[in-house]
Amino acid sequence: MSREFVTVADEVYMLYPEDQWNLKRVKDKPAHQFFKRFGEAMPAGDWNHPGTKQGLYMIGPDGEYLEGKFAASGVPDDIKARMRRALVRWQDLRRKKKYANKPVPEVVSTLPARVDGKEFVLRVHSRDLPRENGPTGKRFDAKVDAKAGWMEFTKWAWNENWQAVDDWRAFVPAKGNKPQEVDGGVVQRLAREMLIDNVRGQAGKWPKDALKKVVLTMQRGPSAKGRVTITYRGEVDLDDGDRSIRATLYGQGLYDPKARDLVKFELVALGTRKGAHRFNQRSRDPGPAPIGFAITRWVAPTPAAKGR
Amino acid sequence: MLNTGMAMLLALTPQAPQPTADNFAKWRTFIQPSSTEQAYRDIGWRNELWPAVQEARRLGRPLLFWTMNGHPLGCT
Repeated sequence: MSREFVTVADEVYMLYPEDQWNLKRVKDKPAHQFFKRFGEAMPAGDWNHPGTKQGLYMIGPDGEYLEGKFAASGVPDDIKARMRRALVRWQDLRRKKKYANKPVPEVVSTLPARVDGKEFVLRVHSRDLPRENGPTGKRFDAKVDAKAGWMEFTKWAWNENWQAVDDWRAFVPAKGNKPQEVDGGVVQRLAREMLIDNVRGQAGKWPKDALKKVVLTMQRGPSAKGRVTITYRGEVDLDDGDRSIRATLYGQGLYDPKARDLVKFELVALGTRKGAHRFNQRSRDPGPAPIGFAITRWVAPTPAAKGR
Repeated sequence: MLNTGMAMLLALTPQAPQPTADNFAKWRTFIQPSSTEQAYRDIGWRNELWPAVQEARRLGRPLLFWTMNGHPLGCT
């Protein structure tokens, strides 16, 4: 697929907003005009207007229609069939318009634009933890689940999020063996922006007054091969009236004093979530129920690296 | 599917387990996506539509565009 298409993933809301106020803001932008022109050439039913434009689209270099479908993710066989049709149409189009059809260079999947290229990026995963009598903790099984209805995803959902941390040096303790508190501002931001229940869908960050208790300590351990081991321990209590998360944190780090780099940073938060927020699909399953977060420093692979 | 170690951990812990030096790595692995779950990253996704359109025009190639509310590569 990456050899045939220039593959791109992007956020849709500000590309083709559903509300008039934002639509006015973007209507003259070339990306919006390009996508709109393409959409208006699509068959009725495949282009959703008015409404969400979330989906998968196959587009010629000048916005020509090849294939596509809004909200397409639930039916893999349909997507495959559309991609095959798109490639057949492409062969006709490229001959007709004499497109160069040069080889597509191999690229490594990038991070979302707002963190791409930043020095210290944390990859945040959230997942429901198993419950004795609950629906979660299940992993997707392609043999059984491939044709399940789209809402079934809540059984095996997990989420990935990315945050850049400019003041990452706050996670490096000063010399000495005593436990030290990580800077409160840094820890509060970590809690507000990363410990969010978005396992099943979007939820906003925590307001400041939701921080009932947030503490993270760090302690130097023995050095290994010139690198300092660090242990992190903490606790959070977040509650905004509609939802809450109470969790215990434990983590490990590895600081290289020579390179002045925190080469490894890994935190796990395990706790209980309760309530619902925005589009996070918890209204029918408000808990309390166990939830887990893994926060790890992202190290970009080289272009040759496989199996990311 | 839970492995035996994780099943034993769950049997010994209350509803919200506590992360410790002993179980930290197991829980981290459990929460993080498996290679199957993150197979979408095997595709070389560019992260912004408009620069990708420019690239497609330079190459004379079609685009495959995946778009969601919230960036599909994360940050929801």
